[in-house]
Amino acid sequence: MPVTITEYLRPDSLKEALALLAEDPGKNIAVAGGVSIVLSGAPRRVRAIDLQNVGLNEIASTKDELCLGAMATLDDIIHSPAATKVASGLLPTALRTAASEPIRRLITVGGNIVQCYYWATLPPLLLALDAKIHLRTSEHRRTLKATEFFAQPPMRLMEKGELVTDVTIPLKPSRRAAFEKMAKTSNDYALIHVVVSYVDQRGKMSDPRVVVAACTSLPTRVREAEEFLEGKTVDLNTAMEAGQIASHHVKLRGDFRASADYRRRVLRVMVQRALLKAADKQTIS
Amino acid sequence: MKLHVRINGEARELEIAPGAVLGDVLRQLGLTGTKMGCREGHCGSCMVLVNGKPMNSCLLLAAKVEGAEITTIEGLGDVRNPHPIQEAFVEAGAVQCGFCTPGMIISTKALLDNEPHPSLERVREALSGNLCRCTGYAKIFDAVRIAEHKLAKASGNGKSTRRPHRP
Ligand SMILES: Cc1cc2nc3c(=O)[nH]c(=O)nc-3n(C[C@H](O)[C@H](O)[C@H](O)COP(=O)(O)OP(=O)(O)OC[C@H]3O[C@@H](n4cnc5c(N)ncnc54)[C@H](O)[C@@H]3O)c2cc1C
Ligand code: FES
Ligand code: FES
Repeated sequence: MPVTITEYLRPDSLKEALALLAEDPGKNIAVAGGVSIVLSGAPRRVRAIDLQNVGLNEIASTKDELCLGAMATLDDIIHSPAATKVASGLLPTALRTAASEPIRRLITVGGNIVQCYYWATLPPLLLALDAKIHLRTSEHRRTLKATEFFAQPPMRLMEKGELVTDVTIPLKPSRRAAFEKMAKTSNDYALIHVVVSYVDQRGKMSDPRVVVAACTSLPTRVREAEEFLEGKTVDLNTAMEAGQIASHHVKLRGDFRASADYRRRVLRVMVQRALLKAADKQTIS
Repeated sequence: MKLHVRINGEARELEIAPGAVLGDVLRQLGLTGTKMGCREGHCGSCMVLVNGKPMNSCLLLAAKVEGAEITTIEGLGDVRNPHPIQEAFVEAGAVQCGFCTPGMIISTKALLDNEPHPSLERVREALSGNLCRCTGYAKIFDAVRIAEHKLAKASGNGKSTRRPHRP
């Protein structure tokens, strides 16, 4: 038995779930897909509060933003016409590389970003898309920018009994983006993730985002590369230089999967490729 | 705690530990066709259908499937009365040690139920959570094609234009 779950509750509303979590915050665990809860084998005895029926499963969009409920699964996003509208299909393309199809049916938005394993797929995407994370306890609500939410391991930032309720992503029609994953096999954990995005202003980049993850402990925006790209046109030279800058300005992790030096060399090329891909200029790699 | 589910068509009320995973619960009922290989979501030998969708029963808390319809490999068919997909795996020679086979067949069932004539790309994606350490997959993909033809014939509608990609 992976976690010592002493009791399993399935509240029917968010209010009820928040009230249960507030009762004795240290003794409860919110269960979303349950994937990392099953795998982690937490030693302490906890009461499980399942979020399946509390009404956070929806994906909706307005003219201005896409809203992902915390209990929407990666598979729900992949098949959502609303989610496809973001940055020419970035979300489904990228999320198809996460785990396997059956597991993507379990992994939720909330679980993925709160757990935030360094190789998780959704966190760098949310950073590159300027997402906002909406949180709630039984007492109050707050909204954080993705940059704030991922500035430390999110679990450390969450208050006891606090839940992510949803994530919103602004819809900008002229946003272009691309995603690159490097892993040893097609559904292994990523060694490197790169997400780039920018608003296309007649061929020039405005508001560029260069996000790297999996090779860093937390998903990271590389401001130096973003500043370099602002106002530029994407061509091979620009993309190469941005790759160079990005690979030298992030603190890379080395572990049994790959050394930091190896990751630095590969990262440079991946940033370059992602930029050319976003601009549809993939003539050379 | 109590768990109410239908397993292979039969309504059951089970007493489970609140933290038990579905795969263990099924095996303790004697449904040992569902294998527990890696227990961490990599191999797919534990695949079962939950309301028709394939899921890794090693990752799924049993308490999460309250009210659901579970189908295991035993629910498809047996030696005397095999399911067309099971026949197809035998005919294609897609079984060597056989440890991955129940999971492969469950994933194939879910795929062909929803998409009677999938592209090879879709077959690969749908089986992406199932590892086989023996066959090298080619014969498994053949088996899926053979199953596709058998099922289309049985339902009398589909004329697939695709052949097994390795004749
Ligand atoms: C073989 C395998 C491969 C994988 N590959 C990938 C991959 O490539 N990319 C990827 O991104 N992921 C991948 N994952 C999934 C990843 O490892 C996590 O397990 C998953 O994201 C957890 O999501 P969950 O919904 O199951 O969360 P849970 O396990 O239910 O919860 C995780 C944590 O978050 C908390 N939590 C959950 N929801 C909320 C909420 N709404 N508010 C507050 N707290 C909450 C829980 O209390 C718990 O502490 C893989 C998993 C496996 C098994
Ligand atoms: S036992 Fe479940 S995936 Fe291996
Ligand atoms: S037949 Fe042995 S693992 Fe597939």
